[in-house]
Amino acid sequence: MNTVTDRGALGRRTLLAGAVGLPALLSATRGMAQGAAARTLSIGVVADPVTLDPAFSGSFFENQVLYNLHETLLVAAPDGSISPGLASFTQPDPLTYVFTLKPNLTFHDGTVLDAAAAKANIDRYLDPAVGSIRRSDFGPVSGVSVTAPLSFEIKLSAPYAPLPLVLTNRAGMMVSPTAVKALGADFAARAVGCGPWKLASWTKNSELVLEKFDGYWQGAPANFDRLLFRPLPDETVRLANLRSGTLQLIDALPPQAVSGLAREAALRVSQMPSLGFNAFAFNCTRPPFNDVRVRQAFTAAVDPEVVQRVVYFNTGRPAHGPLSPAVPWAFDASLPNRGNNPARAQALLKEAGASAPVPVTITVTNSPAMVRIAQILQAQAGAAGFKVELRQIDPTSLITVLRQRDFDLCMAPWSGRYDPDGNMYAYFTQGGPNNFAGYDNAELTALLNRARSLSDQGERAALYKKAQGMVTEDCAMLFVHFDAIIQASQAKLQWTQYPDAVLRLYGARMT
Amino acid sequence: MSAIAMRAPLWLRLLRDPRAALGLGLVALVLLGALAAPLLPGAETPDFMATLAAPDATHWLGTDDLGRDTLSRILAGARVSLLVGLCSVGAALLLGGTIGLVAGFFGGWVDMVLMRLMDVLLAFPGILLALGITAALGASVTNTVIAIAVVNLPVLARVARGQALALRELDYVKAQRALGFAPLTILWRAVLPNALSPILVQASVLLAASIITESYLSFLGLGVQPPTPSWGNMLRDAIGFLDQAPWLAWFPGLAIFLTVLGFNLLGDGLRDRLDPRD
Repeated sequence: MNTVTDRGALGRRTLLAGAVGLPALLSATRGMAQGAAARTLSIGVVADPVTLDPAFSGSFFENQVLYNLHETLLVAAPDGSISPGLASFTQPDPLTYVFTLKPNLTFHDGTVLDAAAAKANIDRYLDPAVGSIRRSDFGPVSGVSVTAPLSFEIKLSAPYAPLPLVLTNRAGMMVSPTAVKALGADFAARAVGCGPWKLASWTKNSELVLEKFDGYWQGAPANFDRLLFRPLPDETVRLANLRSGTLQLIDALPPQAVSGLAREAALRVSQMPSLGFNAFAFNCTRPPFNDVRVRQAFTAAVDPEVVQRVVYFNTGRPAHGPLSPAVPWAFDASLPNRGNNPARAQALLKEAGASAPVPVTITVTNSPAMVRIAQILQAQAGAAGFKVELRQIDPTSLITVLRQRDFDLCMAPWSGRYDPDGNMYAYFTQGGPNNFAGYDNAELTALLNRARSLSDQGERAALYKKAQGMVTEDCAMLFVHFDAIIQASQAKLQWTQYPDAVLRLYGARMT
Repeated sequence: MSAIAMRAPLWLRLLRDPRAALGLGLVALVLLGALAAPLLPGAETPDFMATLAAPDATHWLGTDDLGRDTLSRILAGARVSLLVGLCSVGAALLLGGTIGLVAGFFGGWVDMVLMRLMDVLLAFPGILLALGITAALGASVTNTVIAIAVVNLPVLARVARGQALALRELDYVKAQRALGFAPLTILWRAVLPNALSPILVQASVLLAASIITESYLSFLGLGVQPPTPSWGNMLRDAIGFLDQAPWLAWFPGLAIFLTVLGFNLLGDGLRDRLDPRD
C-alpha cells in the first residue's frame, strides 16, 4: 500500500514488540494492517490535477481533489438546492448580495477567514491582472466591499440569478490570502484552503494525499484520516484495483462493467443522471454545416437511442436537447427525437442542393467511447447521404481544435451545471466562450440574457423551454446522450454521490 | 550440404528446413487470408442489433462492440498489415539500399554526409520516431507507411553500406575499375547483385517488425483509422471489453503473433539458405 500507512504501522509495531514480545506482535500486526487500511481511503481517479488553485483550475478532473481540499461559500445539495456553507446570504435588492461568514473560521495555515479574506479571494478571481479563469463565472459582478468583520457585500451591474450557484462551484472556494502571497507560483502545488482535508503530500502522476484538518468548522470529516487519490487513466486498471481491494472508491466506471459488477456482493455501483450533455458541435461558420438544412439532415440521420444502447449499455438516457433531466425544473421531456429518420435526412439534403454524398469529417478524441460513437454516426449518416471521415486527436488538442473551429463536426461534451444558464449561455450566445459551433442567433442571445437576469424559477423555466426549442430546431449542436454518473466503491464504504460527479467525501464512513 | 541440394531452387531448400517451412506456411496463410478478405465483406458493416456476440455458427469468431464480424475484420486487417509492411519495407529498401550502396562504394565525404544523416535517424528510438512522424503528419495509412519506412531506412542503409565497403575491395570490382567502367555501371553490375542477399534477409526481418509497429501505432490511434480494421486498432477496441468479450482480444493478438512468427522464421531460413557456406 502507500508509504503513509506503512510508516504508521511500523511505528506502533516496534513499540508493541518491545512491550509484549513476538507472539503478540504477530497478531497485532494483523490488527494494525486492518486499522491502517481503515484510516486511509484510496480513490482511483481519471487524471492527476494540474493545479490545486481554484483560480486556475480548468480541468473537470481536478474537482475530485479541489472539493475536498477547499470549502465553498455556499453549498449545493445533490438535488441542486442551495444552503449556507462558509457563509449565508441575503439579497436586499436585485443588484446586491450580502454575505455573513460563520464565526471562528480558519484556513489550514491558521490564517483567519474573515470578510477581508473573502474579499481578497473574490478580488483575486476578478482581477484581470491575475488572469483567473473564474472571471467569467462572476458575470456582471462589479465589486466586493467589507461591511463588518464577518460581513461583505457583492455588487452587480446587472441582475444575475446564477450567482449563488456559481459560489457553490470553484468560484466560491476560499483560499488563504497569506499562503497565496507567501507561495507565489508554488501555490498551485501547495494550495492552502479551509476544506475538511488539507494537503499532506503530492507525488505528481502517482499519488496525492490529503489528511483531515483538525480545525475544520464542522468537526471530523469522516471516520478515517486520509484520502489518497491515485490517477489511473485506464478504466480497466481502475476497476481491477477496486476488485483487488487496493482502492475503495473509483470514478468513471465504464458502462459495460455495470451489469457484471452488480453481481459482486463486496462492491457497489452508484449511478445517477449527470448535469451535463454529450454533444457534437456543428461548425456553423463554413460549408457544409453553415446550411441549417444540412445540419438538420445530419441530425435526422443519427439515432441517439442506438448510441444509448451500444455505447452506454442502457445507462443514462438519449439526449434531444442541452438540459439534463438532473435539473427537473428546466428539463424539457417533450423535446422530440429528431433523429432516426434517414428518409427525412435524404429529403433535406436534396432540398439543400446536394447531388452527391456530402463529405464531412467528425473529430473526436481517441477515447474508446468517443471513437465508438463517431463510428455509429459515420454508419448512420453514411446511410443517409453523407460521406463521413473520422479524425482522432489527443485530448489535449481538443480545446484548441474547438476554439479555432478547425472541424466540421467535433465532440464538445459538457460536465454541466445545476443552473440551466451554465449549460446554455456559454454554448449558444453570440460570442459565448463555448460557442464552438459559431451559432449566431441574436434572438436567442437576448432570450438567454433575460433568463439569467430573472429570479422567478417559473418564468425562467418558460424561457429555457423556448431556448431549447430554438437550439434544437436550428440544430446548433448534435445532442447525443445524457451520461449517467457511474462510480463504484467497496460495499463497506458509505458516501454520497452528486450529479456533477464530484466525490465530496465529507461525511463518508467506512465500516 | 550436398551438391544436388545446392542446385535445388531456393524455395525447395527452404521447405526442407522445418522452421523455414513453418514460416513459409504461416506467411502463405496470411497471404491467403488477405486474398480471401473480399469474400467476407462484413468488416466495416456494423449491426447494432448483434453487438458483442460470442463465436457461433454465424460469426465464427464473434462480433465486436459495433456488431461487426470479427473474422471479416481479421482478414481485412491482414490486408492492411501486409500492405503497410510491404510498402514501408519496400520504400526503405529502395531508398535505404541506394543510400547505403552509394555511401559504401564511393566512400569519402559522400559516405560521411549520407551516413551521418542515417545516424541522426538512428539516434531516435524507432517507436518514438514513428510516433513523432505520425503525430506531425496526421493519422492515415499513407502516413503510417511513411513513418515506418523512415524508421527502417537507416537499418537497411547500414547493411547495404557494409556490403558495398567489402565488395569494392574485391578483385573483380577493382578489375572493372581498371578497365575504365563508369562507377555507376560497376555499382549496378558488380556490387548490387552481390550485395542483395543480406539486404533482402534484413528486409524480411524488418517486415515482421514493421507489422508490429503498424499494430502499435493503430493501437495508439495514430495509425490506420476506423472503421478500416487493423489488428492494432481491433486490440484497442477490445481492451474495454476484456471482461465481457475476451475473444475480441484473442483473435487479433493471435493474428499478429502468427504473422510475425512466420516472417521471422522465414527470414531466419532465408539467411541460412542464402549463406554461401550453406
